[in-house]
Amino acid sequence: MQLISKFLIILILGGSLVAQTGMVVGQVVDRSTGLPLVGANIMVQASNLGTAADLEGLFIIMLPEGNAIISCSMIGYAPVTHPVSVITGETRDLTFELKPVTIESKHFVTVQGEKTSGHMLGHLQQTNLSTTENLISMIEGVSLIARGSYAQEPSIRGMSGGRMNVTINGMKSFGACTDRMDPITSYVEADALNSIEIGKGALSIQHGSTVGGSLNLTMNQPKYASQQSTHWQIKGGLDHGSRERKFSFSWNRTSPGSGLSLSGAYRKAEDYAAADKQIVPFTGFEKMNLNFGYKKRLNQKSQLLFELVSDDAYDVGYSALPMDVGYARLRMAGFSINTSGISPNILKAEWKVYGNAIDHWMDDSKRELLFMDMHMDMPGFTRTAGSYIDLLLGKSAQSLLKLRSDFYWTSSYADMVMYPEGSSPMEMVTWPGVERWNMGQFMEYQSIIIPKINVNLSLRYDLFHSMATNEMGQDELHIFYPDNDLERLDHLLSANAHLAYNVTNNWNSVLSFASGQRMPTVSEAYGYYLYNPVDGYLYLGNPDLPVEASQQVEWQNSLTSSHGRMSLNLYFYKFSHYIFGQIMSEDAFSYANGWKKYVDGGVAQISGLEWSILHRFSPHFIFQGGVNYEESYLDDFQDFLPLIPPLEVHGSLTYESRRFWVQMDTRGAALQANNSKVSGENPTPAFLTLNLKGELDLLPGLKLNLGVNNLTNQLYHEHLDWGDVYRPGRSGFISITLDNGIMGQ
Amino acid sequence: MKLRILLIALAGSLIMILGCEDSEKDIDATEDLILIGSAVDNELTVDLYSDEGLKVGLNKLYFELTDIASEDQITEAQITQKPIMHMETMNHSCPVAGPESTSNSDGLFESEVVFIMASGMMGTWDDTVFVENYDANTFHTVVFENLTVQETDMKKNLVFEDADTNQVIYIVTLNGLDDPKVGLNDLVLTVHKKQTMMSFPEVADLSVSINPQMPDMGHGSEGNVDPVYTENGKYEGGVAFSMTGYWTIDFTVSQGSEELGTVQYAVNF
Ligand SMILES: [Cu+2]
Ligand SMILES: [Cu+2]
Repeated sequence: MQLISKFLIILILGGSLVAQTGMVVGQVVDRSTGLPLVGANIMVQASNLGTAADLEGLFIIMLPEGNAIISCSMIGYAPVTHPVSVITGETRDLTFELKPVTIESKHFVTVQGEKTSGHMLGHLQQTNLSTTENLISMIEGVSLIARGSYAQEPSIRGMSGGRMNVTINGMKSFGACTDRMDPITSYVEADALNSIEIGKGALSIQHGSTVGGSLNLTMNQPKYASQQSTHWQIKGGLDHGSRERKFSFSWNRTSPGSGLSLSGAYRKAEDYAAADKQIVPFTGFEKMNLNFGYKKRLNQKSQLLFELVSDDAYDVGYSALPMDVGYARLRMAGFSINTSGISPNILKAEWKVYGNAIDHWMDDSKRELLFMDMHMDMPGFTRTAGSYIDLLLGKSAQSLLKLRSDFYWTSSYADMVMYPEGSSPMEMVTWPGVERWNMGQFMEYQSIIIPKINVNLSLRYDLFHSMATNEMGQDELHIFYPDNDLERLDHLLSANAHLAYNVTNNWNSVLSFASGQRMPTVSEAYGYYLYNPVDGYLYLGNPDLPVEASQQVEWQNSLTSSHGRMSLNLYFYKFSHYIFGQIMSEDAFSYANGWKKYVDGGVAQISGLEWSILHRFSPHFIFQGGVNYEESYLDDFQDFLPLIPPLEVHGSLTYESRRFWVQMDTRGAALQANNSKVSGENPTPAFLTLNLKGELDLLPGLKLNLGVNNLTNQLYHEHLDWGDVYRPGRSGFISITLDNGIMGQ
Repeated sequence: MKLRILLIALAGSLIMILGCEDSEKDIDATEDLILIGSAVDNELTVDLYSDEGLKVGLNKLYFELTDIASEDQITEAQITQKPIMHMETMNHSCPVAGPESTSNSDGLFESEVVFIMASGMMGTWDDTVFVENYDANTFHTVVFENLTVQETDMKKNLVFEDADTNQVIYIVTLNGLDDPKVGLNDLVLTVHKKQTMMSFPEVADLSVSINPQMPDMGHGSEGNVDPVYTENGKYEGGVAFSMTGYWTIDFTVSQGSEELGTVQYAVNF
């Protein structure tokens, strides 16, 4: 289709050529995915001529007769130059294939009009038994909060949970655990991921209002092909340390008019050993994930997509918590229709409807009555359904308007029953059947003023209606809020502006301002005595909490060359009505340090920097590295914020050749002594770890992966790890991938 | 199809209208009450009602007086009652308040009786009622015999020594927690002094503090309301149960600056 339009442009413009000039018609595509790169910059060297690629990645430029050098650049890709000789009245054809250099942040990507591919993810995915969380944590500014070895929770620049917006293919879903044991990312298998779109702070508000950031996990989709074909792949792997076994498969059937895909993964791990050879109890788990996708062309311009995700985890150990998870289950379905070019001004349109159900059952039956000499049940569930309509309006990539109207409903319920021996069971509702409706309207305008300057403005309005519907839960909260009807209506407004300036061909500078708001979470507004093992306090929700707001300024600079890329981000956030747990009583409970209530914590600040570099020394050697640092402060409490990552360094050196690659990577953190006293944090010592991994193509269709994690057998834990549980010690892994690659095509 | 929906809607609204009319029909004040007994003396019917079956603790008793000849309700009368428990070796009464000499808007004379023992093997309760009918200027006496008083564990004795080292007994009952729920529960504590076997005056000058505890978990609860004196020996307050299960509630009773003692109740739900 792209070829067709390119041909059309040549035809249409062919007749109206100006006498002394020739024309260059070209297309810019991503080398690894073949997708068009919207908004790529086209510059004619030694002139001030330039343009930008349109929605199909196409561009046209009129040039005087003679030789010229055309360069093409885009953030996240290595720039490419092409010489071209222009003859009056003739048309030159040019294709730029840009190679992605690193995973980019989402807002960059929307400024530029197209998200980047998961090239780096590709490498990692095949290496080991990596999880979705592992992949996310490779992104600059993202850390993981661990409560065990399973279901680590992503945190963007120290902000997590309700401060973040996590979606799967744009679909909202909400974890069903009152203790945040099941971040949404834990329900997605790394193998099924296509890419991760990340927005920092309120710089990306398409998927919802937020202050801390957004994470959209896009899953592999079925594909079309010019011929009917089938592709399958199976993988098997083993990790020595945790005796984790993993099997996965994918099966794809492609044809010109439809695509079908099915993939699945099963993994089972035992308790792992830390570097001191001590087994870390309750770190094992079992998980099964299935994905199904069906895509069908309705006509030249439209297609429909149907997707199903199912994820089941059993007997998941949470070493940092007093209980484990019996099961955690996700069922998700989505249906969408998208079409392009309905009318000259509506370039794209998509309608999606979706629903999902998450069930979570905590289990302490394997614990030796660690918690107060009694067993307890803690079930919880969420149900979510929603829909959105996306419209992309405009005539070219020079000026685009993106609109989204979205809606969702979600319901969360959780309770807790304790069984003291020889006495009556004790029950309380911890999430009082909270129903929440959200209607949102998003609009984004992007314009390439001149090839050097892009502006991007976004605005989002949200209406939230929340209420607690469970009668027992209402009675519980009425003890503390007797006159509150536990129902609230909120209006949220978020906006951001990016100004991108190509200082030179290789130097791009972006100045961004954002103002974000977020709703208090179900736990923050309606939670009832939720136990937090980090500080040992019970947390009480507060239905009167105001909406938390943030102001954000960010300055990002990146230098790209044909060898690599370097970038530096400086950022500053100022929060108002920062939601924070305030100590209400310290001696009310024999088994807890006391209880806290979520309150309006006033003004908080976070500022920091992210520096990253990628350099290709030779065709074979690539170096990648980065440093993150940030500081935080909560003014009214004269305290630091909790779970703020310390100074972190990471780097990797990769040797690539045609049939194999080897990578040595390192990750380290400095001492974190800026601890939140109110949250009961302790300093976390510095550490540096080293991993080695590699991949070898044994035969066409047969690949071998080998590696050793924690090569130097460091005994360490990270600052964001709950309960200071040690990470795994040295452990080797092996995996084999078999596909019908050549045979099937 | 459309017709059917219309019909269903019509039928639905009809039922609603009828239902409404039904509930608006002359509400008999005694309909929700339990008739304890009926007695006749000299052309006067005395009906005795209570909110629920009689039980140890605070009971609300209602008297309805009807002139047999005219079938009129009598709304002005002086009613005096004396509940007596007849035990093998002795008789005793219990705290009583009311009724007032004017009936309420439903024509009922309200009173409060705190039964301090259950009927059964130990003895039987009766209630002797004297009525002075102001309208007719007549006097009547009726006896409601063999009243069934259910046992509860909501009555406690608070025993202490006064300044003259005489033993004093305060009778304390806890009321309002028959059907406890998670959340804040209103409660009424009654305190009466056991002066003689026949005299139980109210004690009005106490300060009471409440402390619920969940012994299986070792915690109390937030949001409790200390009982405060209202009338007739009643102290009204609230207990907050943060979850279901077995709870104890301690009431610490003080008079002036002196702490008289603590009574403990247990609630299991
Ligand atoms: Cu959980
Ligand atoms: Cu309890």
